[in-house]
Amino acid sequence: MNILSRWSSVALTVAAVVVIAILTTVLPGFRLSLGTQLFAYIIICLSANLLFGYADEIVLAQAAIVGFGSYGFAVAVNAGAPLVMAALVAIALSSVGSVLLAFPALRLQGLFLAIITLAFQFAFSGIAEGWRAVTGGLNGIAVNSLFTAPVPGMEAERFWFLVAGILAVLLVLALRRLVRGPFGRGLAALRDAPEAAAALGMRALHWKLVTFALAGGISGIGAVLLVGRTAYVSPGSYTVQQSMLITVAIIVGGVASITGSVLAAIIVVGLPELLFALGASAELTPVIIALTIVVCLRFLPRGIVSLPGLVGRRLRRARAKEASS
Amino acid sequence: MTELRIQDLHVGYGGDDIVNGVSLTIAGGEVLVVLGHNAAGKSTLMKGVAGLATCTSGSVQIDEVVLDRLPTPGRVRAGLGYVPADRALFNGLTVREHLVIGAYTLGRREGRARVAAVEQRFGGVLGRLRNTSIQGLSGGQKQLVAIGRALVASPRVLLLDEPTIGLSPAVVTEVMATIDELRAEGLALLVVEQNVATALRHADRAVVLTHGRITLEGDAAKLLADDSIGAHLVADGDRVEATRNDDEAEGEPR
Repeated sequence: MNILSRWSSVALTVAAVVVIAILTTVLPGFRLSLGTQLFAYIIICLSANLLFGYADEIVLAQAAIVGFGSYGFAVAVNAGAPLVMAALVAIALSSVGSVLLAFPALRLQGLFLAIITLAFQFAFSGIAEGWRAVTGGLNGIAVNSLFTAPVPGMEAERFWFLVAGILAVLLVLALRRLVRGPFGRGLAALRDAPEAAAALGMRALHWKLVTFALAGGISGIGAVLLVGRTAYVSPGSYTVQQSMLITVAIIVGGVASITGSVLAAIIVVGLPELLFALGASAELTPVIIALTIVVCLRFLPRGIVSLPGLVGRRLRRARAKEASS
Repeated sequence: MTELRIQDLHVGYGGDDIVNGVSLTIAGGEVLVVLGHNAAGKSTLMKGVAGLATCTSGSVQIDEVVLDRLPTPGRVRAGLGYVPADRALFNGLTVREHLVIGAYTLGRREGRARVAAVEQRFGGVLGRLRNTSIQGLSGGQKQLVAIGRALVASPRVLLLDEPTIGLSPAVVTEVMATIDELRAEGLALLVVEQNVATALRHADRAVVLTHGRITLEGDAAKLLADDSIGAHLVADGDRVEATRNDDEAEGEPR
């Protein structure tokens, strides 16, 4: 990275943090809550894109990976753990949940892995609904202490918005750096030519374990923010539909792209809001998802993130045609 | 003097063995070419030696180091390099990034020095192309990247699986010249090749593999002069003639 882009990156980060800080003070409660949800899903979509886009692992259990962290956080906070400690428990649990999927990923790829991860997602939902003593079953777990912010004089929703915003900005920058550096090159090597990468001394097991653990840990951060926002966790937020929505949103936003992950989060949070605003039934969501993916794969196979480049190329071609005629 | 020793090697993919008891010895500064028709087990033999396919029995050694139980990083450190058949480059990465990944088993400082050294090889072509994405390279340049990537870790034994496949005759000449150069530097080279006449012309010794077994073995120059090799290549009888005709076109402009 040259000095100019480093400085512009620092300036952008500072500007983003300042904007988030200002929004924290001026936005009304409902907007703050929506903003926190958006930031949490930016983080979750970064994690999902790390697996799906950069490592080429079709994981359809992203909601379950987040769910591990959310339940862990809720149980730890209710048990009296300090927030930071409870957050570490959430990160660790999501990471472990994700690593469990690294083992089938060693032997299976593509649709076969997708099916295994789907089974994992169903198993998670079953446990979340059935293990009432720990998860509260369908009623979920209320975390009443989260209605009070740990910062005196600050409302909880403002606190979580600020924390979520700063974490989302930092993780966008960190992931951007990570995928452009040696780690990203290693993932590209293992994705494009695994045998050649192995022959150069790269061990697929180590790489998969690290990638799944890292993606899980990042999801765990998103999990903490989701629970912090609502002070509540229930199986309905971590369903197979949610996993599908995250995956589709990444395909539509842009696979193997940080900007695509941010766009994916906007879709995950914005689509239900849009349907609600239009007065459409929530049951229409799967239909909208199916239509969106078909339209996107037909017209924008590289996702919305490729739209500016596509328009630019078309414009250049049109100008060249005009000039030649 | 470096020596690769393969003894009674059996290699398979979970079912029946595809390589059935191959024994070979290659010294440093020597090129041994493995010939055979399709599905004879040539690439499986290479993968077995490289640690990418399961060796059910037998042994592979570089000098005194037994590779049998070593995972691939250990084999690379023992001096083994492997260039896959389809070149297996990494989409979207630059030439430089390929070489950096080639230094995976080395320390940072040593890796940098080795990448710089490999960039100077082959007339400095990899250095000039360092920031070029591999999608923008010709077939010959891609092959040089694949060979360069394997050379970064300073192998003493290099396995080359069909290094001339899909290349024009002029580029085949360049690749074979590179193989000659590596032999002159003292590397032991095990080369799988379909281009029989060209391979025999550049090799010291050759073996013919049929159904995973060595059915013919000898001095490359003698085998080149002996038309009976066609009978051992069975399905390749026509290909011997075809590749000889191809070779006549060598040196023509691309």
